[in-house]
Amino acid sequence: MSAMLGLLSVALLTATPVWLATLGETLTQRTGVINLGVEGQMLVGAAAGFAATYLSGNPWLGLLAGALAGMALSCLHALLCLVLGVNQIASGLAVLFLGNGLSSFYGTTLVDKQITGFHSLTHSAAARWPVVGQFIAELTPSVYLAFALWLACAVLLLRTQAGLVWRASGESADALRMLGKSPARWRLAGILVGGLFTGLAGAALSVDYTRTWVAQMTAGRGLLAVGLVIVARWNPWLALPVALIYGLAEALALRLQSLGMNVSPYLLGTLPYLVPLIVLLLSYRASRRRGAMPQELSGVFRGMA
Amino acid sequence: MKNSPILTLLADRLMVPLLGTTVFIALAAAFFHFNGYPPGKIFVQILKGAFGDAFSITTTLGKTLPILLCALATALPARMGLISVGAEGQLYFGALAGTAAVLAHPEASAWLMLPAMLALALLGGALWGAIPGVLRAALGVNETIVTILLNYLAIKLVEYAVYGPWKDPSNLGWPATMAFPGTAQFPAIACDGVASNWALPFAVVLALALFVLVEKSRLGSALALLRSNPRVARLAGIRYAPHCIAVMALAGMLAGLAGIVQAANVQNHLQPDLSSGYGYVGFLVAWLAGQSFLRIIPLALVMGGLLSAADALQLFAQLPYANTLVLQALLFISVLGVGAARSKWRRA
Amino acid sequence: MQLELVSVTKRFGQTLANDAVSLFIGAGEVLALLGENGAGKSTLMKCLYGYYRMDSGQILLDGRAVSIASPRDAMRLGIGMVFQQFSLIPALTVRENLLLAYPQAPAWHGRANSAAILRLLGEFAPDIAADTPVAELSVGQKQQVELVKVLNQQARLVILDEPTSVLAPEEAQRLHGIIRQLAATGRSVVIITHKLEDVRACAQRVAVMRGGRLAAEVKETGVDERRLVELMVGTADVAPAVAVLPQSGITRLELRKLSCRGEALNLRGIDLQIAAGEILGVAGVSGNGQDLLADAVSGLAALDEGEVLLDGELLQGPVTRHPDDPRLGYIPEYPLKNAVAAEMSNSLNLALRGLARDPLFPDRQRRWSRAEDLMEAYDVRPRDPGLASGRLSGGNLQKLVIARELSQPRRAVVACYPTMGLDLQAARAVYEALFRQAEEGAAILWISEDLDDLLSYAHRIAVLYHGRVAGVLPAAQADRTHLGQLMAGGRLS
Repeated sequence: MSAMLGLLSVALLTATPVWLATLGETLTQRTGVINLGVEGQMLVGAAAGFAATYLSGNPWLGLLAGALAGMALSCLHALLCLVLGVNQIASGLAVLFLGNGLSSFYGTTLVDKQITGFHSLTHSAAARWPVVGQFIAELTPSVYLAFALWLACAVLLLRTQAGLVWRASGESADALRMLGKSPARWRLAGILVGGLFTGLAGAALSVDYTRTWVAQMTAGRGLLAVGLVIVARWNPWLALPVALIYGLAEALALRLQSLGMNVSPYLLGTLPYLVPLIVLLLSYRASRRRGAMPQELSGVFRGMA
Repeated sequence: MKNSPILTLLADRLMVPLLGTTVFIALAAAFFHFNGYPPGKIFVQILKGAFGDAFSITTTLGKTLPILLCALATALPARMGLISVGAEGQLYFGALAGTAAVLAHPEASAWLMLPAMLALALLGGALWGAIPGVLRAALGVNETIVTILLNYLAIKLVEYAVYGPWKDPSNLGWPATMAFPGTAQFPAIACDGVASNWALPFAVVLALALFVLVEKSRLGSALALLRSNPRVARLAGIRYAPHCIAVMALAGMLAGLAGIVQAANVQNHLQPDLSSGYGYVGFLVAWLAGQSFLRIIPLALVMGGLLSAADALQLFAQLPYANTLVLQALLFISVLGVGAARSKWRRA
Repeated sequence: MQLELVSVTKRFGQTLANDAVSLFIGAGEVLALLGENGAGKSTLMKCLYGYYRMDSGQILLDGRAVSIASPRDAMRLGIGMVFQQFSLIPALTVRENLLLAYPQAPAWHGRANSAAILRLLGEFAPDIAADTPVAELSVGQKQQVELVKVLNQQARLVILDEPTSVLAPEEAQRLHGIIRQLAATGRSVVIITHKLEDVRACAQRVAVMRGGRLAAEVKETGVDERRLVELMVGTADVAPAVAVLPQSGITRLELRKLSCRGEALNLRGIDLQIAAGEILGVAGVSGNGQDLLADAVSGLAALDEGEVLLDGELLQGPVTRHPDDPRLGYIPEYPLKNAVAAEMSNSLNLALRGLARDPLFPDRQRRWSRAEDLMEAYDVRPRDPGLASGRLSGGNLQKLVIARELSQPRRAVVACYPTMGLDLQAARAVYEALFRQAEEGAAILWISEDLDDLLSYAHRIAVLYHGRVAGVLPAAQADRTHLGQLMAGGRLS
């Protein structure tokens, strides 16, 4: 297997939780709501997913439990900002804090527990395919699941009537009301689906990628995802390439370490934050150009001179 | 019968805090009950753990200081509409910069050491705060996302320093710098067995000064104007960019001060677990106080008490320390929700 | 479809917007609803469209009484309305906007299955490509898409609210053609307008409204236009009392080769001189750079090139700008967005212009009593200096801004649509305040869409077209047709 493909497969594996979270937050923001609680939803998803896998021995059940936990927590965001009218940023941070607290609290007993994740594909028939066989076999089921969800979301959002209404609710609540549709209902859907995806993202991290649970293990991945949605200009297709930016930075840091480079692992550890941050800055101007940002979000991003 | 206007005003002012506290106590009680801890007993334990004796008051005050400073560092940008969650990172980076002064000349006299350490810490905090300020002013990048990402980055940098070049070999694998010399510590105050240092009264004075400046002066109006309508502020001769950068840098200084006090006086080393989330707790306090510099002071004390009680609960009730994270979140949610419901109801 | 409004009455608080108005609209007929701003035309039609609830009155559809409580009810009965503010979503394409509103839109959007949705677009606006984002269309094209959107919902009666006020004369002619085409296919059209051109071009019948009542109904054929104007305006004298003469020779405000970039279009090479005491009117179809010009002169927009001089002294340039210069008065468009901090008190908003130069701890007592005086003098209601300015009504907010900007002597004033949202009495007061500034030697840059007002009160009129000055004419030598040509991009002959 070529070194490039090897790096790419590691990048894909590390990127998958971020990919799913970016996708979920894209769907949420497309209805005109920003949810900074992604980080908390991922943590709850990771804890619940790990616990379910530990108890049942079935990683698929773990992914499901994680997704549902993320969605359950996202209800809080819906309650605070849709029903009570709390500022969206503040409400998202409340979700973040609660998710962090709940997962740390209930996760205390999960620390140091062992789970068996998905069976490796390295000995399957696919692994013997020429050139790409090894690459395909390196990837895990959550990568394939993310791939399927990514295709489905992009197509549903951009090619169907329901997707059109979904996007319209993020562009103009008034226009939607004129059509006799309730923007709040579509936003609720946006928040809940986002919660489902980000919970799944957390579970993919703990059940499939690290196969361990540690408090605050998402380490900012959820917030990165919120930033990456902007880099991707709210386009679901671009969720993969932008998540790969993160994945490659992380994979590169790992690779450089394993090559015995004389650089501190802690310094290399800043790469996965630094690289997406720089990309965010470089692409921010472009994302603010007309048509990229859902118009209903512009109030949240307001305050420019 | 006609209500007295003062009573009505008072009821109006107290409504949200009282109702918010009630909702919080109900939620917290439900949380403890659900997890099999008797809420009544736990609440008593919390009170004892926070303010029960000289030792617990000392611990509480020790935690109040960084919370107070981080809350000020959150409230100041909020006055011009910036939602900064960056106090944690500013705290770390301020401590990192201040420590550099100590490690450069550990033998310097107190007269040289303290000002140098303080100046570098303030400068470091200001730098870490100014980065999102500059990005916001120049490119319009959302400051909330950048400040949070910079938190992770600052912690990584401190880890790099204390696991790497600044690690003291005599620590036998424990990642930390050498112990700070006595010359690099803020003078202590003690009274009836309760101990603290001069940074605490200084922080309270800072809060009061900020209160006067923001509530009464032209600068406060300028910030409020920038929050409300930056375009119109230009007509008044008030420019967004310099205010945005200055306010964020100043906020960074406040948090940076918290960082260096934490390293010098509390932990006596620079180490990776410099803060137990004080930046985030400070954020909560600022929002609970409605960004009022006056209300921040007592609320920081309450939160400090809650954190020091969490330590005690872990020891005596075997309650995981993370319960305090849940409690903080529940408090934030209660006050946020009640406040918003109140203004929604008033509008209708 | 025949439609009849019987004795429709609508109040907004104290004001009676429609006073027992009865109106008949026949099948396949084009009815022009003519009247001044505030005559109650739009209100009446919004009652018919279910946007407002009428206080009393009846709607008869083909002789049967119907109840219309919402635009959706109206739509179901075949009544559609095209507003001045379009409800299209700019980020979506024409096809997507039409699909969004289409009653039986397909669940899956293939290439093939939008033919039915695009049929009427092809019929009425064949030059618009379906996959263009709406943001890239011209105003006239947006209006056509909006119209097709309404027709797609099986509308048999189409109400157009001031459709030509945002159009260049050429585009207006195009619309008149479309309206005749609609009538020819048996649809009824009501066109709300204050322009006689619209009546002339396509109306079969005219209903004139004034002060909330129906003043007259006339068959268009052979109508005396002067009579229509009289019916529309009445005989009350609302002309401002002051007329000013320019102090010629002293250039006060000078724009030199002004260029700056805007969101929609750029200003390029604007050269204008305004003498002390002179009122320079700026005419043009909205969206040709008026707001940008005002921002550039007042220092809010960054200049790429050129400069603005006040009394020969640099005021705004590419390097330095002084939006807070006390010699300059600025009345921007949309005061809520552009002129006040909505969450802050009237007292502060009135003191806003000098804020950065105030002492560190300003005298709040004085600020308060000054606000009280100004609100009294300019009749801002409610007279509460502590109230947040965002809670004022549109007209009162405008008066607040006028009070702030025109109560002190200025050397130059930039005024954008300064009488927007005001009744005739209040509008007259604004003009008087503006002209008083001119009388005392200020240079006035006055942006307006009302050609009649410009022709009556400005000394010279500059026409803005696509970010350039298409021509400058002394008001005495200008007439509507000439200005109209310039506004449509014609050259000065």
